[in-house]
Amino acid sequence: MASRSHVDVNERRLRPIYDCLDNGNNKKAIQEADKVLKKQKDLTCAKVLKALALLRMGRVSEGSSMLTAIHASEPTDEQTLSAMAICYKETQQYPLIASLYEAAARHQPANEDILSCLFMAHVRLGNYQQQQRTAMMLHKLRPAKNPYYFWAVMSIVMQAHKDRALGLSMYLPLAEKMTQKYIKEEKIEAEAEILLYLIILELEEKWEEALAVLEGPMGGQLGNELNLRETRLAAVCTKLLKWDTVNSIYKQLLDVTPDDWHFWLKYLDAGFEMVDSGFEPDQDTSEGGQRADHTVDLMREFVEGKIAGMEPAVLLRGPFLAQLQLLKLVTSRNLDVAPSVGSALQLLKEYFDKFGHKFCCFGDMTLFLDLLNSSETDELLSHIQGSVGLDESEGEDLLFAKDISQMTRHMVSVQLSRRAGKHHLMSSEARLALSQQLQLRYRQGLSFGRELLQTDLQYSDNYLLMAVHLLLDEWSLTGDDVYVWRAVVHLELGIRESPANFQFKLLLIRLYCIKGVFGPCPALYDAMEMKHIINDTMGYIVSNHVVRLGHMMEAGTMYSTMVRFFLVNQKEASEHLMSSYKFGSFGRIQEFVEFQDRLDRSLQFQSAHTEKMLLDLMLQTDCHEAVEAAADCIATQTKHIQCDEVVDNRDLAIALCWDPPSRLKPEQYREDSLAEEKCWLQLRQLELQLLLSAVAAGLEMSGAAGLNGNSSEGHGGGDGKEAPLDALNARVKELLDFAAKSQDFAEPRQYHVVQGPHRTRIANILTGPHLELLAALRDCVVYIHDLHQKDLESVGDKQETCWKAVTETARKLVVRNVDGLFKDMQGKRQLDSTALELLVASVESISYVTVMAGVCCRGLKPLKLAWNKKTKKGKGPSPPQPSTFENFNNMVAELSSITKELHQAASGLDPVFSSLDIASLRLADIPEQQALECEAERLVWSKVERSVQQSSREMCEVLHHKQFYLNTLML
Amino acid sequence: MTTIRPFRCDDLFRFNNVNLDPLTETYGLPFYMQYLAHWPEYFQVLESPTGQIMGYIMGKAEGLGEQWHGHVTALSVAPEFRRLGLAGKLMNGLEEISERKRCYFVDLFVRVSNKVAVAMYEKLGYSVYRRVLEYYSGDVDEDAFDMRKALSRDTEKKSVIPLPHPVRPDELD
Repeated sequence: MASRSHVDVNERRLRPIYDCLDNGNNKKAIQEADKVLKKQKDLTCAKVLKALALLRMGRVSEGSSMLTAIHASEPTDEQTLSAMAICYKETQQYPLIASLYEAAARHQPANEDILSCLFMAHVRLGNYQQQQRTAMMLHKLRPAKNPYYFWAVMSIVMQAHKDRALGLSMYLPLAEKMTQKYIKEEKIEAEAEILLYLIILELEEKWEEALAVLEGPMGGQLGNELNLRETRLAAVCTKLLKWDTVNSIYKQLLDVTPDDWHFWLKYLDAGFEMVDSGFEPDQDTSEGGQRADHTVDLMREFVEGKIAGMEPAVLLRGPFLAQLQLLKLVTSRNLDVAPSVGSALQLLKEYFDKFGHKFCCFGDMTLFLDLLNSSETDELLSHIQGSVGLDESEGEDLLFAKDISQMTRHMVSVQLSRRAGKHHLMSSEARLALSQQLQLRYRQGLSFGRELLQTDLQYSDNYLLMAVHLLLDEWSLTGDDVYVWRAVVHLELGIRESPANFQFKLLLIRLYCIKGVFGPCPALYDAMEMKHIINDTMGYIVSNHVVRLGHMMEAGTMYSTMVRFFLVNQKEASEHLMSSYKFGSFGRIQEFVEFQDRLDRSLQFQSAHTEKMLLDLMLQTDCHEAVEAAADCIATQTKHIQCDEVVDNRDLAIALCWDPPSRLKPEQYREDSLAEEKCWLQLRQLELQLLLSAVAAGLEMSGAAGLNGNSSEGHGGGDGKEAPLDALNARVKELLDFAAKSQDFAEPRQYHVVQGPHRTRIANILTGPHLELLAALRDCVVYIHDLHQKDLESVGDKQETCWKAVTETARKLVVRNVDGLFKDMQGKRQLDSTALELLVASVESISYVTVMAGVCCRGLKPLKLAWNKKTKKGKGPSPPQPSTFENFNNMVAELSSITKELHQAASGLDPVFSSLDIASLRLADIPEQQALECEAERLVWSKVERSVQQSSREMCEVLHHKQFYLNTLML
Repeated sequence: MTTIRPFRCDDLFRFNNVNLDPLTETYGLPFYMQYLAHWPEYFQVLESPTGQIMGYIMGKAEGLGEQWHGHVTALSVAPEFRRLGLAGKLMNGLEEISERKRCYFVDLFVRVSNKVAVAMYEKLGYSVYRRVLEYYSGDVDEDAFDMRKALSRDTEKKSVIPLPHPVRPDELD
């Protein structure tokens, strides 16, 4: 090994290269590396750093070949190794990191650092067997270091996760034995090691053994996490059906923290297990520990004791809710002890009296409303209204709350009455009057929040939200857009008073999108700082709309951001696993692996990725070469997850909503919408693959496949063996079959206005000419392919039918009979986004058609060239040119004219172009005396106008490019 | 009435009602994962009876010698669950763990403008140890208070004697 001073010299020499790399100055890094190499030819690390700079500059093949050579020389010095690991990390060639350290470890089997890097390299690959092997080598090298030994144990546990059957018969017993060895030899040092032993025993379902550990001296060492020993013990006893122990463990925990809901649930559940089984306690075991409460009476006494023991100044919600939970459990069993426990109505009344001034009171009470019949519900509501005392002002002026507490109580009462379905039974008049009243209460409530910071929510915000929900009820019932626009105006005003309120923003985005106006959404979205993992859980609120409403540039930006989050995370994921081994948090490892899997299979990831790639094929491609370049780039990225395997990480419950359970069915919406999303994703993936295989078929026919096509070899996108034309045929067939199978989705679906997800565009695509059109173009490509094997002179007009089929279908893309942006609803003019959505779909289709026409052109060009050559050579009168070329040109000309018509339709949407003043239509019908609302309304219209304008312009821009593209295709 | 339990990865999919609040920063995943892997006992979440996430605390233990202390990295409670004393509950948990780890004190940073939070921490026994200039970057940079509370091991309460002068972020240890 090199001496220390030697290493220092090297370090000093390498420093400037590292600095340049850190600053992103790759060119200079190469120069510095060359300088060092001149002085010291064999300084491998300098070569690696040069290669790294080359890679970062995009000179991949130069960089890679240098690395390959160095790799083959099997370096062992740490500097070189870690620099190479950086290169491989950046190029995501993780297996090479393992093989690099593997070789180094062969040369230096006693080098702890190299071995531990090798272990981590295997962690990155999830190669549990190799992890185990390497950890054991480390253990043999440093037997005194416990972590290495337990790395091996954990690696065995992970093998058990991978193979359940072998896990139980082989891996877990081995892991258990290895740990027991250390226990016997009293070599256990850390809490993490005991926890790992517990993990193993629990996986083996050896509950008695786990119990012994927890109750024994090792259990005593589990002190790092709060209540860990007790809750673990209770979990194990639950498995062993030792309900008395479970009950008494939680009883003791409740003595310390009587407000913990989880503890109460577990305490009561265990108690009722004993009630159900007629448990009789053993007289002798009552010494020392707490006695278990095995009857309803004992539990009731315990709960009541907790209530009685509370200081009146600090009322805890826990024991009171426990009382209700006890009643719920009694009721569900039809036990005749119910009266002694109390009545649900009485308890709920009291609960409101005590906690009505807390915002969370509504949520708490909803858990127990099912215990009431409808007359009891009415009685509860009237008790609450009476006790709040703000609803008794019929015909007179509105009574306003005197303080925040009274206001909150009132708000909870309104929420509960909505939950009970009262709002949905109202007449339109009463509903609108209530909405108006709540707005006034909201405004008055703002006076309580004058001192609040901009970052705080206003105390009365939820009044406004409820007022808006009532307007939306009315909108759903009548279909009259006046209400939705009023809702928008009120929410816009709400944001001014309470800029931190994300509920307002979420609902605004939703309503704008429903009405076809995407323009204001990005600003609202950004204002909520949606980033990192929130891209996954919340991205859905914009991602179904941005393309649908023709904001293509924004779509590109949004999808890129979303996709980047997932890709970056994939690169970093293994780092977390490594930290878990490093810090001995073995319990996390399986959790991290599952978490990563959930991200990789995210619906949001897959759909944003697919949409982004389709967008790339559509935007800024004004000639076929650009499409081929884009397709080549996409082919390297496509790694499809089966649509059935996607997971739904959407946070659909984020929007506040107080609707009755009969109207709000979150689980149902999630299930239905996920089915629709999966279907839509599959359709889009098929479209994408269809286009990619068409482009490849074009390259093949043009004879260029050998030149450009080689770039797709290494990436293995698709199975690689399928010939492009076969692939194209297969995708078209799959797409048509799939469409036929998916007719369930041909009717647009609707979910809950406030809380449900939004439909996809699938209905639109299934019912339009879009898929048929792609099939028609496929026929053209196939036809051209056949011509390559035929004598052109034999081609007659009879065979030339494919071109006409395309133009006839494409004609259907021209959106007809739409009155631009408006439709008439019961004599009123309403803004209507249907036309926009149809137009966007047509623009998208014409873009795909253009790509396919480009493929045809690719196939026809060599034929034309050959024909020209042949006829020039021939001395006699040249034979008549086959009609193919002319027919193709005619098709392109026709497509171009369709594009032009779409262009006209798109520019017709622009309100400026059609000299339309949306504001003058007064679509929200707000009375002029409401000056504040009127001014806000004007701003809303200017946003609407700008948004529609943007959609129109972007459509025109795309179409303009397509016309240019089509022009280049003329033969 | 809440459930306090260790934070799990999957909670990251559900914490939006806490994190969409403007003062709650959403970090990149490695940040959360590092805390989960390294200081799992310091990462606790509160869940409501209806199953919603009400708030969470992230913390760690670090420092050498008498600087060995618990640190509150993030503490946030969703708007609808404020004024229930939940932050105090989370802080108590963190202090207790720090006691078990034999820390000398617990510290945290808070925006000087966040009067509600400063007042709350004062009520929980924290005092301003020093002011950190322009600690929070944004459209306008903002100062932070470094607030501390001595734990039982620091019998003389040396750790909380306030510094007379503000410090710059690069002077923090």
